[in-house]
Amino acid sequence: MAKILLVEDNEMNRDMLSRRLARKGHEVFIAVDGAEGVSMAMAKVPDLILMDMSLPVLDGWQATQQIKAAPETKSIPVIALTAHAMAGDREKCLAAGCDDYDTKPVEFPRLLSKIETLLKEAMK
Amino acid sequence: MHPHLQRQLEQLGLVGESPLPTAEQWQLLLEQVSCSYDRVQSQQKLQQEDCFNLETVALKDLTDSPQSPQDSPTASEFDRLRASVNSLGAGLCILDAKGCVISVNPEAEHLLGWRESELAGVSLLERIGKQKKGNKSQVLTAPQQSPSKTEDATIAPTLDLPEAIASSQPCNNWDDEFLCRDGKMLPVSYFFHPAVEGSEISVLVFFDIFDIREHKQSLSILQAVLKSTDAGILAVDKNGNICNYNQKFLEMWGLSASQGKLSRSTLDTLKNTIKTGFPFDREQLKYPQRFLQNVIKVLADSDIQISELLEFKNGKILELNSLPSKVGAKTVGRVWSFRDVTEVKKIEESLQYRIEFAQLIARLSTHFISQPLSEIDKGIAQTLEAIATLSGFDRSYIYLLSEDKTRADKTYEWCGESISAVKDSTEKQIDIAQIPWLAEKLDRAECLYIPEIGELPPPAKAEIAYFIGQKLAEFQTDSPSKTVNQTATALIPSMGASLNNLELKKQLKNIQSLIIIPLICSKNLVGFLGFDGLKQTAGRATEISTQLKMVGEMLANVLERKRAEAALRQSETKYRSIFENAVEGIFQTTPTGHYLSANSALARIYGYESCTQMLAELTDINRQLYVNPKQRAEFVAQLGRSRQVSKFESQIYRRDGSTIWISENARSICDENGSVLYYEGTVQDITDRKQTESAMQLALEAAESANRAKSTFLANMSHELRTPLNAIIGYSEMLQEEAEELGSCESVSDLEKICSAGKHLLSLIDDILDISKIEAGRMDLYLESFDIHNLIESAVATARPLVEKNGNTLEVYCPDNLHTMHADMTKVRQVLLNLLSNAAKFTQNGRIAIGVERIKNEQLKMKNQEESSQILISNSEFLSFRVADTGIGMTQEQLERVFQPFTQADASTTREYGGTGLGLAISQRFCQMMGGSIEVSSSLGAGTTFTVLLPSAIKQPEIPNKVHDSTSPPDAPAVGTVLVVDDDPISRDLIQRTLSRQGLHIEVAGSGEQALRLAKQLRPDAITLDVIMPGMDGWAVLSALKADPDLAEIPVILLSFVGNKSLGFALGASDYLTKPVDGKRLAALLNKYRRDQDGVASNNLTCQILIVEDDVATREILRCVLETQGWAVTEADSGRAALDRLKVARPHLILLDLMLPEMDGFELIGEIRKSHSGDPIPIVVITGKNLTPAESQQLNGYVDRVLQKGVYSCDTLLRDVRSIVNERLDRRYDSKGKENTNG
Repeated sequence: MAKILLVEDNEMNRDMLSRRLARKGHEVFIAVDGAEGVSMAMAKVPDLILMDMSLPVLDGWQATQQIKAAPETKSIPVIALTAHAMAGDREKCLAAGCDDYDTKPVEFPRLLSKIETLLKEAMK
Repeated sequence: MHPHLQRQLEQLGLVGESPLPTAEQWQLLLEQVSCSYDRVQSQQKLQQEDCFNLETVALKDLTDSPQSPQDSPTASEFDRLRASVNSLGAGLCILDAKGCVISVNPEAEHLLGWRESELAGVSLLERIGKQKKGNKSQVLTAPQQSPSKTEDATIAPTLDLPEAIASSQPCNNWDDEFLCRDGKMLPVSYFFHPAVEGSEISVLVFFDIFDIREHKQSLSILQAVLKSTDAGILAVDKNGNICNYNQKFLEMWGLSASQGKLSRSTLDTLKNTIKTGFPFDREQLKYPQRFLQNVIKVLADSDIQISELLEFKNGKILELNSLPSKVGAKTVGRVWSFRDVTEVKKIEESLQYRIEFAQLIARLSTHFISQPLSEIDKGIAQTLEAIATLSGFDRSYIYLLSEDKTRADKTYEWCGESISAVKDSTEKQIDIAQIPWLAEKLDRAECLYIPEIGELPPPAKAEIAYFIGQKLAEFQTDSPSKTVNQTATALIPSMGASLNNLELKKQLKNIQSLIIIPLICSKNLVGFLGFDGLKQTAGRATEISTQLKMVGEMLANVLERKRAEAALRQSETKYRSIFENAVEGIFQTTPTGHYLSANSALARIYGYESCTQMLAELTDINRQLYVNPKQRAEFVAQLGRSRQVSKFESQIYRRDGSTIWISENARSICDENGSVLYYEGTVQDITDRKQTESAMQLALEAAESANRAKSTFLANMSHELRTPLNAIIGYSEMLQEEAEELGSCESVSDLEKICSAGKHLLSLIDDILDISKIEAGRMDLYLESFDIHNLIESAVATARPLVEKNGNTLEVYCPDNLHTMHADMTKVRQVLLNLLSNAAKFTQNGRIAIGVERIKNEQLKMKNQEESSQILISNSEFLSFRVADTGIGMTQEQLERVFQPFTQADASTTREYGGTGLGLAISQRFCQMMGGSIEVSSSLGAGTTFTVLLPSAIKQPEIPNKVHDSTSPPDAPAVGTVLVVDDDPISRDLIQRTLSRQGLHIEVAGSGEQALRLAKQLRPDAITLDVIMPGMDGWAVLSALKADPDLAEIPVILLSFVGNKSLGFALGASDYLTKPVDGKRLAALLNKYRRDQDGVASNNLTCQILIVEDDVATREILRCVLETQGWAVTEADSGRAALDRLKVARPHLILLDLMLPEMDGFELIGEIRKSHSGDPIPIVVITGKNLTPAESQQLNGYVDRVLQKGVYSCDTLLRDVRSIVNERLDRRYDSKGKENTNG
């Protein structure tokens, strides 16, 4: 299906989500911090990136900015996936360059539909 | 003077000035002449008589002698006689008895023109008398007296000559005429003596009296003059005998005379008195002694001349001139002339009086003008005295009316010596009601002059009596004594005088005349000025009524001034007291920072012991007082802008160096030209308040910080709970899927329970977050118009599975004509979902209904009016949403608590039905926020009905702080607000203008602090931030923004044109100039670049400059300026041309007009920067300033184009701003819906 980079520091969530995505047939790459996320994005050039925001080393906002700043990776859609669900969090993520935003706990079908939408858009 | 008279006077030895200057002198002269003639005549007469006697004897001898002519002694005697006859100074004719001429002497020959031979034997009368006319009339009766004895001046002729000759009678005639040989008439006086003792010979002696006749004529003229003159004249001889006088003299001295002649007795008296040196009745005179002294002087020195004014007791004034009359050098007598100058003197005196009065007034008024208030009383007293004295009054006074004008108080009085005894008799206060007649006159501003009080009508007299405090009887009703006085004085001067004195003494105590002058100030009667006289018709009031009125006005003004000054002083004292005792400091300072005045409160506030000490030590407010050295300048600047400042707060140093806070209210006082004279204002020590404030601020900050902490806590809690929930829900769902695939049904239901519990926990978190936001007042409304039908549909669709789970049926009542409502759709939907899910939860196998309707009931009562008051309801149209169920219902007790947070109807309910217990609380809050309400009706076991009432159009409540919003259109939620933070006003202005044209609402901040404040207030959609700013720089602002959870979300665009601060730099230029170009600034700027280019300049002879400017005139000017500065100038009139020039040669500097045809300045800069990126050429931009609206429009057009075509930095800036704002706006509404649906 699609190559998805999951940038997530929480092990359980990383495991859960990667497995659920894999079960849906996606190829999932894992990065445990922002910096790794950026480098993985460079290295793997995934079709889509799921970006946690509260990340060690380099946070999700910065990582997204870097990804969006780099010509090689700037076209990759990024979905912010965060437990920061307060008002304004969405804007912050979008301002950092994220293409969409979803909150934890993940409502999986909704996430899948967002992934699908962005992938379709990227295909165009 | 007539030459004839002159000649006569010369003969008389009276050679005087010609013509004589005065009538008196003439008079005198005439007197002298008269005397002289009289004297001469009498001398002549004597001479004639002597002569005649002599002649007669001689002739007798002579006529006798021929009888013995041979007798030699006789002959010699005859000769001798003959000789003496011949030498006689008179004509002599010897006649025979028939009157024929025997002989004439040479003098007679000479006078008559006949020779002796021609006359001899001829009748003399035939020759000399026959043609005479009217001669007969002169022949009068024989004189009673012998002429020889007559000493009298009047000499009458005796017999007619012919008669005398005929009758041989002697005769004489003093005025006759003889016919001369040449036919002329010779005026003569003659003496005819017939022959003595029977002798045949008669003698006629005659004199030529031509001169004498002339003299007589003159004399008669003089006499007529003497009589007709208005001067009284008395001529006396040197022995004091009266020679002459006229009628006037007699009248003047009151001497009785009958028919112009003095009576014998009077004459005798007069003669006597003159002889004794007292010719005048001195008792008539006021100062007889002085006159007497003059008379004595005259007696002592007969040559003395005296002039004196003689004042008579009856008021008559005579001007006396006494001159000696002289013949040659010899004094022969004296002439006293008197002229009545009474009238003249009166007029003179009156004139003099008026002059003096005018001078007095002038002096007094000058005096009053310059006099200080303290001297005014004295001045008024002096005025009263001076005027009264000058005008002959005995008392003067001023009454001032009381405020209510019912009484008048005597405030000033002057009393003359004669009245001092009765001074106390005058009342000090007068009741105006007692003097209606007087008051009325005064009210009409009339001066009241009463020459004789006694003659007033009785009521008026009574008033005056009251007024001056005198008994009515004391006035003289008529004045018999006066008449007596006058008569007596005239008749018996000495007696009259003594009687007069007696009368005076008797009258002394009584005021008999007065004058009252109203004191009028500003057309108001303020009082009156009065003068009293003890004598009737005292004073000279009538002559000076106008002047007295003036005095009245002057005094009124003075009194008014005194009153005004007293009032002023009183109010000054009052204000001074306020000034001194005020709690607030009061000051007057100069714009330069010096105190003009200050009160002691100010000194106290500033820590000085006294005001004086402060004024002495605190000499430079600018530097000494304020802690912030720029504070005073700010103070002055604010005053300059608005003329006043209020609550201007500053920290200041007290004297001991400690600091306090003060608040100043001040205004600037300007002169008529508008330039500032000084500032005045008050100072309050607000240290306490400041401390309270800062304590409050701290408390507020603490509260805010606590609130922030709470927000942060909630955010963290949310985050921290969501993370494990994510795993729980995720894994359970995943396992559920796997279990389903594996077919292990048991585990599926267990996993479902885990998942459900997780989701419940999640909804709990969401609700808690919602309610905390609401409680914190941070829940915002996002108002939009939406279709109600769609809303209901979507809510029903979401709720339907829940409803159906419990075996319930759902009925929807939604009419088609509901159309749209304007509200926060997400919240309305959330409320409806909440109600539906509640209904579903508490109803088993029942019915649930949802219905909507539009209500136009104006009387609809809002239950929560107070809480919803912040919402403005534009109309009374409401939408009513109703959710009803057939469920378990609620007790009354439960109903009361149903909307409270964390409360379900029963604690057990939670266990049974789940739920957070926050749903209804949140729903109620949402309804209230939108200006609506939620109501519930229920009874236990009989189901529940919730009714939500919402206005169909909700208006956004005004946020109190958001005052800057006026420029944004009210119903345009798509307008974004951008806060532009830049300390450079030009940059700020340009960014603002550009972005405004993009449809954005712009707020500007000039400093970091202001930026933070505005950001908090306005919550802008984006902030552009200049990095380099004085004070708090961009980085500091940024970190502050990011540290504040409320502001952290606001995107910030940094304008990091490091090292370059102006628009020009922003555009990639090195510097910029504004039009019209200031030559000096241009030169200075260019010099800077030339210095930078020094290395180049030393190699090449000149520096190259390229001017890019389309306007020929500007180009020419710039070229001139630059060439004189030693630049080598190349020109380009467009961007393209400039690029072409740049290809040919590289200049050291480019001077660029931004507004160019084809390719504009911005584009050109972009091009230049692109092609010369390695080694940039400095570019100085010239921009227009003070543009006309048309130019402004044009420039805006350019700027627009620049943005579209793209000079890198500017373009980037704008693009960034626009896109960010747009995105933000787009997503705000979107996100709200999504966020809330998350729960």
